[in-house]
Amino acid sequence: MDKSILTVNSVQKQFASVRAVNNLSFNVKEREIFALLGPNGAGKTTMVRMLLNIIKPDVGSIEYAINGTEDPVVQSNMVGYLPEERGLYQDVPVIRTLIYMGVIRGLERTDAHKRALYWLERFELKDRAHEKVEALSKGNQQKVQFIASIIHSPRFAILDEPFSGLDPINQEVFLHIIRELCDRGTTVLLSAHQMQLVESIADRILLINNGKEVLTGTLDELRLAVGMDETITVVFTEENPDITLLTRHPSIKEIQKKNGNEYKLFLKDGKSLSDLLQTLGASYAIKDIHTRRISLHDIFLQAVHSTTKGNHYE
Amino acid sequence: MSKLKITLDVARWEFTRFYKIKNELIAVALMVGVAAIAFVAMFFSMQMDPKKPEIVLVNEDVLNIDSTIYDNFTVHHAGYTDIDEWKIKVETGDVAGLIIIETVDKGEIYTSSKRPWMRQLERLLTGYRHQSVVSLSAIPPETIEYLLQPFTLDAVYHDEQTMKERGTERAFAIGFIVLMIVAILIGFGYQFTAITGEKQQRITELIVSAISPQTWIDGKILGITAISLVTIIFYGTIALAISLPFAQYFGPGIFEWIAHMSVWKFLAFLLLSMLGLLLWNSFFTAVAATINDPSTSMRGVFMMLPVLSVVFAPGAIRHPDSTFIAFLGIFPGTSSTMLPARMVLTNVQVWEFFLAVLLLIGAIWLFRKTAAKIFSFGMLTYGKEPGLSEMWRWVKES
Repeated sequence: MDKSILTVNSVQKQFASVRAVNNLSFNVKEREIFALLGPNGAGKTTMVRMLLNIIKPDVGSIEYAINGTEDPVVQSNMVGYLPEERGLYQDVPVIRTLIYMGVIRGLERTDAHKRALYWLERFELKDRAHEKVEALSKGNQQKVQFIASIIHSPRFAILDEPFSGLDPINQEVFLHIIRELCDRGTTVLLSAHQMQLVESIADRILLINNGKEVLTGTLDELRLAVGMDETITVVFTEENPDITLLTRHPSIKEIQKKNGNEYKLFLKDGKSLSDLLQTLGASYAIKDIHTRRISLHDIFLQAVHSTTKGNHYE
Repeated sequence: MSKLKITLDVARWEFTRFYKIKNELIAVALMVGVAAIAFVAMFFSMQMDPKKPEIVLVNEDVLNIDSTIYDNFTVHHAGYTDIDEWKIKVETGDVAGLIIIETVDKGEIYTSSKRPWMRQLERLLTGYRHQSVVSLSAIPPETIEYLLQPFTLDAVYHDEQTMKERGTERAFAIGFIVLMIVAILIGFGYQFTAITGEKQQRITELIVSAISPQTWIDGKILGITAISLVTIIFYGTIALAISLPFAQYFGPGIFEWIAHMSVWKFLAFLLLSMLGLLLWNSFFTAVAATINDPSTSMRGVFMMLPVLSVVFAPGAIRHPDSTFIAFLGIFPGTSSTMLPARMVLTNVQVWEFFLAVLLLIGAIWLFRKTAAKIFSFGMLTYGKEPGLSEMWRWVKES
């Protein structure tokens, strides 16, 4: 999994006065699930469009190394794309849509038909193959669009917000299938806002904000980079307790107030938990307490807030 | 994965997405049904005896009025003393009009408003006036009839064959031009629906991640052109099937008539029409690529441009050898209609034909390229339509 399938070097893209992508570099390794994260307007979609050669970078280079050849433009039959902007031909039957999408990605018509039926069965939509797309619910249209992006078994799949609009059961189905695709040899670059899902599936993560890299690496590497490892959620007996003591505690990096008597304490990396528990037990009346490793959601918020304030991680 | 194969796949998709033979057959069945209903209604309305307008004649003896007036009118006869009484009946609508014949040349009608039957009455009275004047004069009726006969000019053509060929060629040229204009308008509708629909349904991004905008645009131009052609062939065949027996029965014989058409000219007309259709479809594709919402865009007026070439047709008929008309016969926007007209009306040099074809091909190439450039820049911009300066910048940048 160490061989890079995609290398992005110092890419920049400017639209009028907005620099959507600013000197961004990263690589995606073969058969990994790589997550591209960032708040709205961070430059994710612009980056994805440049990866697909829909728009060209102003500066920098993008290189693919699929099937042993290096190329700045990926062949369309090698790549699959689920755009954030969902759209399908509404007045066309599902099966015809999928065959067309397969054919323009280089499949033969009969092969595309066979594969479309296979995937429709996997998503429990085979019975609706001959219905028009407009007859399907939003979630089912999302499934059809997902099938359209991977019907040709691409070597590299870019999935922009694959989980949006799905119920928890179907989110799990999608997670399972994305993992399966990866196991079959497809490298996946995904962008999503459901941090819990990304956390459970991504091998590596790139977090960007204002078009720049904020953090990159595995989840553990990100925890290390933000200097936090654990969080403690404390529910005090009384409302609005005086937390001055906690703000000065050497183990605590940051405190977030959740509710009137509920606080989330971010622990500095490597600091002792027992000291803090002693302080809490001695100084406060506590109703409930639990610890958890810092989540991607927390890392995301921490990192975005820090970069907005002008701090940068190494 | 060849570009040509993908282009043809896109063309096939566009064609099958819009062209439904089942819908065409239903449309024809409906048309036949409506025509049948109209025919039956017309037949029965002709069978019914319409109510004749009721008129009153005063002093009718001045004219030689015969019984033919009763075929169209119900006539009452009255004297001058009854005029006021009948005028009241006209005002209440009991009778349609009161006609007072003053002299053999003049009379007066009293009625509520201008009515369609008044013209018929005027024609009848004119006829009665002729009869009255003839009866008063000493000229025999046969002499009057002889005097009114038109001059007869029997034409003898030195080359009867050329005359027939010109007639057939003219009919074919007009036929091709008309069919091409119809096909262009059909193409315009589908192209706008296809491109703006895809933009509105947010399909563009998915497609251009798989194929280049140029391949997509080329496929669209071919697919929509195919729809236009199939549609006019379908309806043309139906029209021919209906009219052929009549033409064969009443005319000089359709096959004998077609035999007068030169094969080369037929192929030249066909080629020019096809290229003209492709040119305008490419142009419409470029225009549609700049439109987000066809219901609010003012760019639909561009569909009037191909129709404008028809405006020059009378000029071509009157002055086919003028420099301006010769120029229009070569200019890509008008050559597909003006050159066939000139080829029928005058002697067109071979180089003019080939130059026109070359320029048409060049213009098609330019429009399809421009359409793809505008499309590749404009497809992901939703909201405000790009202005001409912006589009020009896109073309230059690309």
